[in-house]
Amino acid sequence: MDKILRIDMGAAGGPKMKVEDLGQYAGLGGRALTSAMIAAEVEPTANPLGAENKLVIAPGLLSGTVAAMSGRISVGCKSPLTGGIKEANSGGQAAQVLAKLGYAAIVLEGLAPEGKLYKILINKDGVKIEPADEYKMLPNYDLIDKIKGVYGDKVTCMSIGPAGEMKLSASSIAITDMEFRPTRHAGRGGVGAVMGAKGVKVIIMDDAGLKNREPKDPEKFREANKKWVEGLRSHAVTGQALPAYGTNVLVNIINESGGFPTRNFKTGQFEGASAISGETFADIETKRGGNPTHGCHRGCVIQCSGTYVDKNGKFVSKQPEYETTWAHGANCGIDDPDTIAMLDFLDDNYGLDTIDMGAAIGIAMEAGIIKFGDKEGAINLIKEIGKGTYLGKIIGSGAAIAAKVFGVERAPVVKGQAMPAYDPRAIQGIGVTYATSTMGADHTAGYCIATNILKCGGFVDPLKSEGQIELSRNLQIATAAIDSTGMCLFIAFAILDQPETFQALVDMLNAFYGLSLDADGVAALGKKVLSAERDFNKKAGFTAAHDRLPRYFYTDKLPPHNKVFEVTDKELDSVFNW
Amino acid sequence: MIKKIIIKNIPEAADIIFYELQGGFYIEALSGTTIISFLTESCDIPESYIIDKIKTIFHNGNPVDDIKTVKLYEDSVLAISGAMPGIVGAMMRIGSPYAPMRENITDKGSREGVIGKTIPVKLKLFNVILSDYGKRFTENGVIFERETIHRLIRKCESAVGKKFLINIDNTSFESSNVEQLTDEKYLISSAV
Repeated sequence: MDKILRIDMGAAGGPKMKVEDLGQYAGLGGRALTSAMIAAEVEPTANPLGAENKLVIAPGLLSGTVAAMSGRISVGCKSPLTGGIKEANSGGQAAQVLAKLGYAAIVLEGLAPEGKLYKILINKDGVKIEPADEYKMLPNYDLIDKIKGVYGDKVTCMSIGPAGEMKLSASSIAITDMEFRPTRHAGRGGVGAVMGAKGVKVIIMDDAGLKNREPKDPEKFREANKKWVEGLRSHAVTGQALPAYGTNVLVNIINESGGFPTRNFKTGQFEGASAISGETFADIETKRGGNPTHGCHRGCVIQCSGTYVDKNGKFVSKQPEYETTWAHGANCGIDDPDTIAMLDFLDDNYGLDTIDMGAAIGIAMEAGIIKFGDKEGAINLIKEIGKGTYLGKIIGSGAAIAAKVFGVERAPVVKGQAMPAYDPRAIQGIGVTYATSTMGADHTAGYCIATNILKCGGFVDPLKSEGQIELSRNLQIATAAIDSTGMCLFIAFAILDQPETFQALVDMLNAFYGLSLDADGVAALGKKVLSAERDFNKKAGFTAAHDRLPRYFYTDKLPPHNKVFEVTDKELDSVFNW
Repeated sequence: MIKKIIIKNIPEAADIIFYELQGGFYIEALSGTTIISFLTESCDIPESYIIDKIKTIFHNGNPVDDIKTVKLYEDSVLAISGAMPGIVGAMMRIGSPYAPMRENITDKGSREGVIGKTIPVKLKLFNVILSDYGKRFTENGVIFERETIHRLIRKCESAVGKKFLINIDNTSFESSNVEQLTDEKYLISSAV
């Protein structure tokens, strides 16, 4: 990964590319690289859909190696949804393949002339950029079928659906999985719209003839990777719960906690939770011939994804993740797994952020466009997006826009991005992260856990709400660092309980690059990433006033615990004090 | 006296009953008993399993850190689960270092009530605990509340595509009349 591919999509005479050294970005990967680049090269007040914005696609530091779990890719830009800096993270095959091709980043710059659409082909022999009119407005599954007919199914694709072509602010970039299906998404923040504005429909990557990246110290790397895998396999979460039930294992838990946002965040428990739980989905999939245990990228040993089939055993979609099941389930009052799977398929096919879609449909239900619980109505709303109707464009622009248009006050958004599947009134700590994250309401930004970085576990006085501030701060620092490695965030649980497993990760980084990184070094990386992001957002016009939850979270009690969000503004403003 | 329902010769019934354990079933206990005592004595779950596998417990929707202190009383609902993913899953774990982030809903065992009275405790089994212990609870029949009974009988009808006969205390009863079952709770099992 010693080069950067830059493509000016608006160059006179057609897209122009150049390959350059890493330069000032040496030693960075994933989110560290995307955020550094956006912060350095994009004018913070630029129009996100304009020529000044850039779309940066970067695998992680350990992607393309034999390190387990190293298949996450980062997509960065100025977000058309939030107006701030964005890093959207995804699984699928792209990180591994792009890293093996030797690219630390692909950077799409400029603006394609209106109506122009291109495909980018990258293999060991080089890069080609060709018109892609034949793919215009194709949904992702249809697109991948066409590509398979020409290039086979051993390539890897990053694509936008009609939502991205229409530049809708909740559009995603789809990434193909090991079965060559467009099921994994860089979902949040409208990154699909930026790719659409750049005029790129699909990036087709082929690593045929290429080997895995080799570490500087193969022996130490092998040893560290072995300990790494042992740690992941032996852990109760990564070794049992996730492989058996997927992320949807959280439905029963979060529902029980009273923090499962139901019917547009009206209550914190859904009476239909067990009908859409991970346990129930796994049972349905097993009985119908689907698969509840499946990895989204080569090298995954946790295998938390799955495949969902209909009553006749025919593929419907990937196993819906917890966020999709919540967004299209409880948040919409829907308790039918088949409906949720269909909505998941439609999100993937049109290229949409599943969280913002569920939130937008919840807004539409609150506004009376359709009723809560209307399964067909929810499906038809998403189909409106595929048709490109005005109603579809409103929904496809996300919950914040939908709320404004429909006159709904209770929009569960921060910095314009819809909240994920945890209500901050029941779970105050996640509210701190929602409010202060540079990304907008985000449940993964303050996610990773490394006890020897965080120095917590008995050090925080439970009577002091400052405990939540410090925890959120440290989690955001550690997550920013881990997002730079390309590792899947679900490694976090094994790291929490097993310090030797975290050490194995640090050892892998050191063995691969010939470094002497320690826990402090990892924390420093995380702080650097967050500082760059905060600085960008400040210059883009964000102030402390944006690090808040919507007003009603402070006033409307959430049943069953009947709590409001109680963390003070002063406390929120102290999260990034370093 | 709780009436006994037996669903005979419907192979799907066993699984349908099994998955309803997620929604909660009833086990008798004495009020004032601690969570650890309830699990070991009333549920017959070994302490070693509790320590090793049951990593998340909710009492009345509140996460619990100390199962030797928190006591069960009238209307107690207990949910037990393995270790959960995600930052919020990690927050909810017993003794989590991230417990402060859900401090406002944590059950610290301050509730007091009548001690020594026989009470029905509603128990919910989730994920790996459901997988490991669910069948043991359903083997000899399990007590559900009326609404759950209605739901699972309707699910059985849906699975076989027609109405069928249920045995209630040795009397036959048609499944399509399930709404006429009006007792608060029933003990239900399946037999093939």
